[in-house]
Amino acid sequence: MEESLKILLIRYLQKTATPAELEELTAWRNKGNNETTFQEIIQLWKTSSPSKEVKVDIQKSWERFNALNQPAKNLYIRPVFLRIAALLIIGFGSLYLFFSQYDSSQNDLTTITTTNEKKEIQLADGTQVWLAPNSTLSFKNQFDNNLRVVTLSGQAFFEVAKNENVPFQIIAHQSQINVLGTSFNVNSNHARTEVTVATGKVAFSPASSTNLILLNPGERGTLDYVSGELHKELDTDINFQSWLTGHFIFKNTPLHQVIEQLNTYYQIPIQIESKNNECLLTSVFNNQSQEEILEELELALGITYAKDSSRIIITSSKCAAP
Amino acid sequence: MIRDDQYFKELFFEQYQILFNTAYRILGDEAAADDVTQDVFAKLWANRKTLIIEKSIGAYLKRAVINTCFNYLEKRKRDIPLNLKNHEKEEDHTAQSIIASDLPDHINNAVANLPPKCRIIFCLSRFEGLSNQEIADELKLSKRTVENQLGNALIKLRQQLKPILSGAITLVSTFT
Repeated sequence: MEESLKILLIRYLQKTATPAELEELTAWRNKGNNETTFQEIIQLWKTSSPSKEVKVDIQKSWERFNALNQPAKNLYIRPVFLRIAALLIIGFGSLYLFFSQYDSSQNDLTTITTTNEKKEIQLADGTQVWLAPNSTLSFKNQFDNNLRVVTLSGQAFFEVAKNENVPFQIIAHQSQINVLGTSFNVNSNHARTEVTVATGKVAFSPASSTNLILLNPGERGTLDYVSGELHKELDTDINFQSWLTGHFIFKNTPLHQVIEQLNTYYQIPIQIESKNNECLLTSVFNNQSQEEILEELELALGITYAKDSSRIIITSSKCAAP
Repeated sequence: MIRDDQYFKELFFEQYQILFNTAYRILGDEAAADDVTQDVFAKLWANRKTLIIEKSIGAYLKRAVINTCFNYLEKRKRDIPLNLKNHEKEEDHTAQSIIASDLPDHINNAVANLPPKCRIIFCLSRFEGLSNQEIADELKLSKRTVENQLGNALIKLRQQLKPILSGAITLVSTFT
């Protein structure tokens, strides 16, 4: 059945169809055996109802929950100083103070630094952040009412929870990125900050000036701290998200660049001696194992490689310059 | 913000049955619905200090349940062969007793065989009473996709239930 007809049926059932759509539906019903189909679908829609309710024994569920998560223990076995503080304060008979102190910790700054592995972080507002290896993200445990600010060094992919009243701001070295609700990649170091947008709109500016560029999906903004230059380009790097997804697309890409990009995703780094541009790869990798990728490189480009526990070295490739 | 475990416990007792019902209506499986509900509370507990809920905590938890159910169904895709087996059995059985009043049960069995996205959209619309816009927001889809998937669900259900449907209609018309 055509998509438009399915939508027509649903609009009819949900009573959102326009007169023209109703007419179209009537025309369809009058053809062949369609009326039977129509009646059966109506019957299905009207008869569908949830299964009978099941009563849960909540006390049992609570016990099960405690066995798995131990909430009571978790709350009190905190760092030693808190336990001592609690004891002292209970000594004074003032539990209230304990909780107000506990409260103030919610304004603390959390800093998360990754080393070898990437990390998925959920912020207080529902924003998802995938932090790349060797990167740092800081954020308040509780965002302010008028602005959600995080600080980034390194690379991360953001999926910002939509909240039009409270802008989301990323401070990355000397750059500032402002959004309302969208997803994009930020790669920032002392020399430059790059922002590549996946969905939505992003405002990108130097922290110290009013200069600003607006970025749309597929566009990349770069702020170069050495030259002070801020510019945007249609993203030329299709693999900007690959460090996270493991999906790589290569089109006549020089082997050393292929390796460089693959290294952003796989744990064991691959090293390559020659950096000539004659060994070109066209291929798509879809989250494959590193082993499989090396096999493919072996077949496609005739590379040979050696491996130990901490690295893989490409020793030669047939297409290398003579 | 979840300040203390007393508040958390009250929330657990107040919301568990409600959330379980939602999960059960979507998954149609008691054990799975219980797992999902436990999982949602475990996450809430783990994030209690950083989590800020803008509107009502009930609405937040319900959304969490819906999302967790959806992830659960996606993960379960591999078990389809098993479902198919059940489905075949179901058909044999229904061929013998075509009774119109059994239809809701048969529909529920057939719903369990829909692909995950199609299934959850159908359940949210028909069993949870969510509007197309709410479903679209929840699952980050366009409204048109929701309509289309609802249409798909009906077509697929009809294919599965064809023998019972015509039987039921005949039965109704004999009595009227």
